[in-house]
Amino acid sequence: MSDTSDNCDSGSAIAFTGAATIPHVTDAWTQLSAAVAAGDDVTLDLSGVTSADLSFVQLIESARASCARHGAAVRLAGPAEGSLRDVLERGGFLDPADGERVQFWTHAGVA
Amino acid sequence: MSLQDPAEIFRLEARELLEAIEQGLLDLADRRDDRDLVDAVFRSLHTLKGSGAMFGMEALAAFTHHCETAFDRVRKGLAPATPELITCVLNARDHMRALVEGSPDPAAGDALLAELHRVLEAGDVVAATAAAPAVATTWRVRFSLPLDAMANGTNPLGLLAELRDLGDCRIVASTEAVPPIEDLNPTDCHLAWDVTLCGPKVSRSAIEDVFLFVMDDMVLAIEEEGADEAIADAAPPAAEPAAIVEPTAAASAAPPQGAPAAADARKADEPRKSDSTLRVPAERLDELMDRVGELVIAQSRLKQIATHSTDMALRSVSEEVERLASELRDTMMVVRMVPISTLFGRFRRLVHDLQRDTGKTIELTTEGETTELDKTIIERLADPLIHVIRNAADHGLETPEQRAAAGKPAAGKLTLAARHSGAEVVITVSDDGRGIDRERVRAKAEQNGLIQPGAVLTDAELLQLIFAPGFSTAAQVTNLSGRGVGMDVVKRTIESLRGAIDITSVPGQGSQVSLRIPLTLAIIDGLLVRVGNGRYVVPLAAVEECVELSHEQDVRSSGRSLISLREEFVPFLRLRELFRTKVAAGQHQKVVVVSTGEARVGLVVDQIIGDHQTVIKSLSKLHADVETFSGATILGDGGVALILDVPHLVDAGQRLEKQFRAAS
Repeated sequence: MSDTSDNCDSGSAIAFTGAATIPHVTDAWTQLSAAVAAGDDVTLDLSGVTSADLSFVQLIESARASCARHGAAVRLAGPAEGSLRDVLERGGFLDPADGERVQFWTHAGVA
Repeated sequence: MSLQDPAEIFRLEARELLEAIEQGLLDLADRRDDRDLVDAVFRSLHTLKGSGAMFGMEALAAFTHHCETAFDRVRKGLAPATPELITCVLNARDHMRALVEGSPDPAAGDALLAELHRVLEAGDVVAATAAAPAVATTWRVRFSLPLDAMANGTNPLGLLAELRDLGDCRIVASTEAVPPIEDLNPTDCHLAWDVTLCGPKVSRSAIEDVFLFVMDDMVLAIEEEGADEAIADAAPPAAEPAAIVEPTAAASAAPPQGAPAAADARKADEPRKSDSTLRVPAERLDELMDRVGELVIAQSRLKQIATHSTDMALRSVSEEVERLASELRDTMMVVRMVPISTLFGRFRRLVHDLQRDTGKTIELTTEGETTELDKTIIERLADPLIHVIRNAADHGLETPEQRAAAGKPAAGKLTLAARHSGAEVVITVSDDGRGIDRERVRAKAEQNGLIQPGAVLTDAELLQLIFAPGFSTAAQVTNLSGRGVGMDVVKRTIESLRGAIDITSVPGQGSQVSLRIPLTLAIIDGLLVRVGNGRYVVPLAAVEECVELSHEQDVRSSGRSLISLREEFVPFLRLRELFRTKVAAGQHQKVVVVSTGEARVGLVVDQIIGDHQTVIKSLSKLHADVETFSGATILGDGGVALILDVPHLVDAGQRLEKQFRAAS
């Protein structure tokens, strides 16, 4: 997995590409925790993620909760797709009962 | 092989599971109502399937799934454990073994599955009349996994998929226990799930089975929707998600159904897999044994040097090294020993199949299963014993009708026994069948040119003809025995293990085949002796005593060689004559009296040098036919000593004595 980060006006942006799975999750954590610690909003571009597992989803959920605690936010540049979307569905992260979470991951409103 | 090779680790575990499945099925054949056995077989099948899938052996997982499903039905009382089903799953187990070992026959797999489905359908007809229609129940399952679950390779998505397979499913992930990112160890699993399940296939046990691999350390709460109290079955929670019931409350909660509660209690009582056992590849033990052997040889050299030295410190160190090498050798022996039950267990299946193939009823009894033997020897004994047991079942035991006519119980008895006898283990296979027909043996031997017509043979010699190559008295060649390849192979294999095989038989009462096997193939205690200029090792376990052969006795006994030992005459062999040594005999020759248990003989040697830890080296193929020696060893000075084959020498001595007796 390779990560690139940029500082933009509204906070930092990180692009994760390649495998977002447990062998790579520690690298991703290093990157993301630094961005969260900066206190600004974080925008994640996950369009280049080719495979994902629950460790990566857990990491982003953790970042989301941490940011929310100090008034910042994590956003996805685009809706989760492909392997990541599959993990979210199978892992029970897209249950309509949690509309906010569904919206975060899929950018879709909940009926 | 590396211990890190996951495929090999899986194969080792799979072999154990397959063994457990086989033993469970054989027990079940005798006790078909035993629910514990059904559960045990199911759990082993389930574990095999799960591990197979985890290690990428999809074909094994898919095939095992069908057997698991079959046993799941038995477990739930939807199908009976019929003998047909047990036989079918036993055959399927053989195919699983082939899948594990990588040599499957795909056509056989398909045929077995077709047979399994046929048997199951037949069972369904029986069960359908008794089974109540399944009612769909809603269950709520809340769980979180051990922190290291993901790092250890557990895929929670796989567990969720298994839950989905059970019925309609709604899964909601909980991130409440996930710590802030700065405190997060990203490879830990802090996620929890709340699953609602509904369907006729869903039951508490089916849900628990999903978590079979991780149940010990996870937090799991299973509730039947609408029930007042939750039933949890888990270790203390690693985290404390609000929705999950405390285990203590769960333990005291009244179970809604008697049987599942009992099962839960059993599971809780089951001891955890012991961590004190270490799995080591046999090749590593062999390597270690080789090193110990080299050490013993080096120690022997050191001892030789120290003996000729006046340096007391060197002598002291040499003695210390000798003691340590001896202890190391003994420890190594123990490490290599495994109980013979690992071997006997396999024959239960053989006898089960033999009953089917011969139409005979056979009662197998095993004795002395805790007797331990070197693992390498145990492995090499498997095939010879299969031949002996097949012969006993096929030729020895009569049909039920013949037994009834002979006034015997319908079931033939086959006894497998093992016991220690000095430095040997004696394994006997006895049957209570018709015994060996001497006349047929003689006729067959004459027909095959093994003996001259009318040759005078002792009973033992006649029976030994059974081990001659190409010998078979079976009028009909069956798929069990009777091809004349078997007993000669048995004899050769046993002799290659430095063992001996004996057979006794009483007409109408049965036969007994005894295999005498040395405890180890690697290092023995020996008595080093000199004959002429050569040095030889006599295995110490066979030595009874050493006496001096006076010049007068030597002269007097020329011709017939007997010495009197405590009013008993013991024949002796002059090794000088046997080995045709040209060196003149010493004044103080010694007689080493050796025994095989039943018979003994004296071996005349020029000098007894002393005891010697003997690392046994095999003789080359060129010398494989030399019967007097069973191997060779390297001495401390780098010289070679041949190891005497005691059973053969005892036979030779006894034979010689009989010839003299017959002639006089």
